[in-house]
Amino acid sequence: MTQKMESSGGIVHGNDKVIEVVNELVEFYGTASDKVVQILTGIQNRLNYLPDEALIEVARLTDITPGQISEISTFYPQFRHKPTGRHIIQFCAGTTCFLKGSREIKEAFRDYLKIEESKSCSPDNLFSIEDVECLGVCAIAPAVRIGNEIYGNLSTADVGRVVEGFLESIEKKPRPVNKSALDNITGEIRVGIGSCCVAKGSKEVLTEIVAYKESKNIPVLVKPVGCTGACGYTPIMDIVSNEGDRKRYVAVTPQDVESIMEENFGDKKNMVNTVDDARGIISKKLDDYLAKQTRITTDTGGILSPVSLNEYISKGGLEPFKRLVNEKNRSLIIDRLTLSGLKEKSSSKLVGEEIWSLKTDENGSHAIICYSEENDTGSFKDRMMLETFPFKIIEGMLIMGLAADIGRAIFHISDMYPLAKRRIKNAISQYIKAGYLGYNILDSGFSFEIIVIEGPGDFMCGERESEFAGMRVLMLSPETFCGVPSVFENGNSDGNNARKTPNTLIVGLTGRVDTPGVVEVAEGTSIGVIIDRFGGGTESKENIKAVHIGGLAGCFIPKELFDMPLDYDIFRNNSLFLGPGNIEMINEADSIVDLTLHFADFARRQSCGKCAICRAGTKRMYDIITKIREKNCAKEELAELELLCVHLKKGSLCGLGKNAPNAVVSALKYFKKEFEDGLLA
Amino acid sequence: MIKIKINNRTFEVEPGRTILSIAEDGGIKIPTLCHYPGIEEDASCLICSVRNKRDGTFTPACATIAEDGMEIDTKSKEVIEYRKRIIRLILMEHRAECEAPCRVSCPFGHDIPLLNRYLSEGKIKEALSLLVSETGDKPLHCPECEAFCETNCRRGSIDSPISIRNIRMFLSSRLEETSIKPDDQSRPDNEYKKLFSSKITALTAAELSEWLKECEDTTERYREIGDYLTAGYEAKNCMHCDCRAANDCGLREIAAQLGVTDPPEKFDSLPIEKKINRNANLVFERAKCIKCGLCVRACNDLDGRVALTYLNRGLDLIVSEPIGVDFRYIHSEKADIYSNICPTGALRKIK
Repeated sequence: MTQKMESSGGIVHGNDKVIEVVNELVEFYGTASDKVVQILTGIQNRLNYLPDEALIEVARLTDITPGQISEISTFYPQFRHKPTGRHIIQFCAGTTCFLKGSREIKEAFRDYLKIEESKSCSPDNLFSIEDVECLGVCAIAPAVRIGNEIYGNLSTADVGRVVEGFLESIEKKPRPVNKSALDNITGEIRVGIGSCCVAKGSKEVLTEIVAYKESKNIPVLVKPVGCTGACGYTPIMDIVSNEGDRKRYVAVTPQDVESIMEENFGDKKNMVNTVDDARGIISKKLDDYLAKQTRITTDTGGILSPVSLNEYISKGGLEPFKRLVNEKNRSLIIDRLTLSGLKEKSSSKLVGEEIWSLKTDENGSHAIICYSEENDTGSFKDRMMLETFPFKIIEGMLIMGLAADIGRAIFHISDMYPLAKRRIKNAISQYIKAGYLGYNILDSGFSFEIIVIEGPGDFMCGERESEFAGMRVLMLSPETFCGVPSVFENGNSDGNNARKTPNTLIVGLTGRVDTPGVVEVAEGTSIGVIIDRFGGGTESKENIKAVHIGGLAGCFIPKELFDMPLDYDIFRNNSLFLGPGNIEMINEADSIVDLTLHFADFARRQSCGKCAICRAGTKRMYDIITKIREKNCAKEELAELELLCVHLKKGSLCGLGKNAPNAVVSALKYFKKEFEDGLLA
Repeated sequence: MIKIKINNRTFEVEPGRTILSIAEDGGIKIPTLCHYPGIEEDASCLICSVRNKRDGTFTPACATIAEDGMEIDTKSKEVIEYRKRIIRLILMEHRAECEAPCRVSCPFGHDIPLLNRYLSEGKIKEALSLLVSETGDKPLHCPECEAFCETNCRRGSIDSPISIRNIRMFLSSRLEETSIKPDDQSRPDNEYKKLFSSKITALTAAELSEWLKECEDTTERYREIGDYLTAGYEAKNCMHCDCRAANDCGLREIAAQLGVTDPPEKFDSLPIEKKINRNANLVFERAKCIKCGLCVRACNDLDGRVALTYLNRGLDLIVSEPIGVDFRYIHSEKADIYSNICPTGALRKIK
């Protein structure tokens, strides 16, 4: 038999291989047409792309028709129909990366790897480049991902080092971490292992600490912990004694580890703290940074391990659930949630009322979904929440399931957040092993299951919101689930003492900022206050011209309006959009036209294309702003742009189209001069 | 029963009806493109948008179910402005070449492509009849004309222009022998020019080779035309530069009604290919497709026979045969449906 051989970056396979892979996957997933995304994802993982023969074979073996499979496989941008290089370099198209020069970085990679203008693969088939909506690591922008590694804070000069470093890293295996338990432990050393921390070298720091500890046999627990949100200070190393005394080191490098360990555990113990002194000021700043927040939902960030359910339970986790699961009248749980004032941030609706309406809806089956699939630029706080608080989020789900009398919850996690997905899956299996998930939990009669859906990572709005695979669903953000257990902490089962929690807002602070991070503040804190308290030094404050808030559907707010409180209702009343609550700071030197073009470009690429106004309207919007940028725009076209925005807003059928012009409208409102500079003389 | 106001007229109707159907029953005309009786609504073209007076938003009449107390306006300045916007946007992604260069450049607007088609199919009577209806009792102007039709004939960029003048002169010489009556179906003189879009655009080399697909089964060329046979052969080399839907195109009609001209700027995604399925008598010109999806909704491939589907998203969205399947495998049953419902000239019968 003659085989048609296809070369794809060193992966060589013939038709037989394709057929074999498809058969295996179809056997595993079944032939139902709703399995198509999983099957396609599986094929791509195995073969690197989706060969036409594979699609034909899937259509032949399953209930999926050739038409359906063609439509679905070309709709989601992460499916590839052409082979790529062995390693894919993903460029973040998020706003902060854009601000910090991601385009130049991409060009530098192209140059270094000799990738031609029209191509996406290097001549040796080793590397391909690809744009992704957002890697969710805005704090270390500009960033790229190669394989499972994220590289941040890049400049064009770093490109060679990154490529060669990656090639080296895949050859050597990481040193295994010895987890041997010690009896007389004197304390613990905490190091953050969120995606951003890891990219800034916290894994290497951890390795050095473990090596030192083992060589000197020091009785201390080395504990990887979740994110503090203080991304501007990472990697952070906390040395905490059993008595609770804490010494904190920030921006630790692997080279620092030896002297830090020496001064805490070695011969120089209790002598002058050289390292600490050198960084003492910043370290104080970090304490201030944390102290100035209202940390209710994120209270355990940087303290607890994100991979140990036992520790979570030992620190009071699951107490609320254990109490509530034996509650006879579960409607009281809803009352207390409503009383507490806890709101879903994206919709500003009371969580209690949302659950009530789901519970009393009599049509079909119900589920709750933790929705973090929106790869909205700057929604990195969702990733951070999932990576850091998996146990708390799941406890929140359990309580909501109890309240709504629902037996099923779903995680919909973006493919862009592999670490978050791993942590959640790990947490679920620990819950199941410990008997807090599954059939008849704690012999209460309450059964609950959680599944993780591998979501294609792209930004979607609109019709999917209230229905999912035929189920009536309630979609909430990780932040909301994470806030639920706090409502029931310190309470008893008496229905009257639900405490009125101050509603907090978790805000990502990125862009032109010295100390990027995620902070939790009371709802209603003004933009200016957040920048003053957490924005850090000079890069931002003196030169700041505006902020952009709300991700891709968000808007520009000039510095004259920085007194505006971050409050979903106030924003809505001013026709503004707070969205995922991310603040991107913009300098005087940054061009608002460039940024607006960036948002228009996103809208254009994300439009599903069904309705003419959104499909062609977002493209026209992009074209006119491009002309302004090139100083080649007629006056009539600027007027056309303004009316086009109105038409998109009033005529689009879903949220994406309606919100697509938000950035443009606010830019034209506050920075029209910059647009008029782009008119033809 | 519910009450709804359209243009301040009150209608009392059963619940569950669309605004479009209520308006149509009341004699209120709303333009549509992606709507077809009996096919599921998708509200993709949005040209039927009307204004909800309560919140000022635009909503597609075809897919909006009337609610009690609704107040709708279908003809205010805002609605017309919005529809103009939609049509302009659709035209930016549409290759609006309604008429062939030969006809546009003819001082008398003779329908030359149609005449060629009659001749190539051996329809002598129809050809003569068209000629009579265009010239009437007067003698043919072609002998004195500078033959702008041939100067502009796109075939000239490949080898030589179609021998249009000689064909017409030959036919004219045969008129005396016959008693042919004028053909009422053809559009005389310059009336077509009142319609939207009749301009000449130059084709690229790649486009020319796509257009050449139209005359697949022809080889011989004749400059001198002495009989019907040579006229037929020569006519077969005509590349069909006019749109097959020139006289029944929804888009052309609505654009003309709204007074919208073809925008000079087009999106850069207009594909150049023509797909021809001679078995099923179907031609697909993707550049004329407005992505309304009527064809995709009209039939699927659950019956095991190839059907058109959507590919890609956003501005890259296209209607196409499925991946790995040849356009020529589309069955003639489906081809008939496609050519009947397509609101533009994108999907038409070859003959």
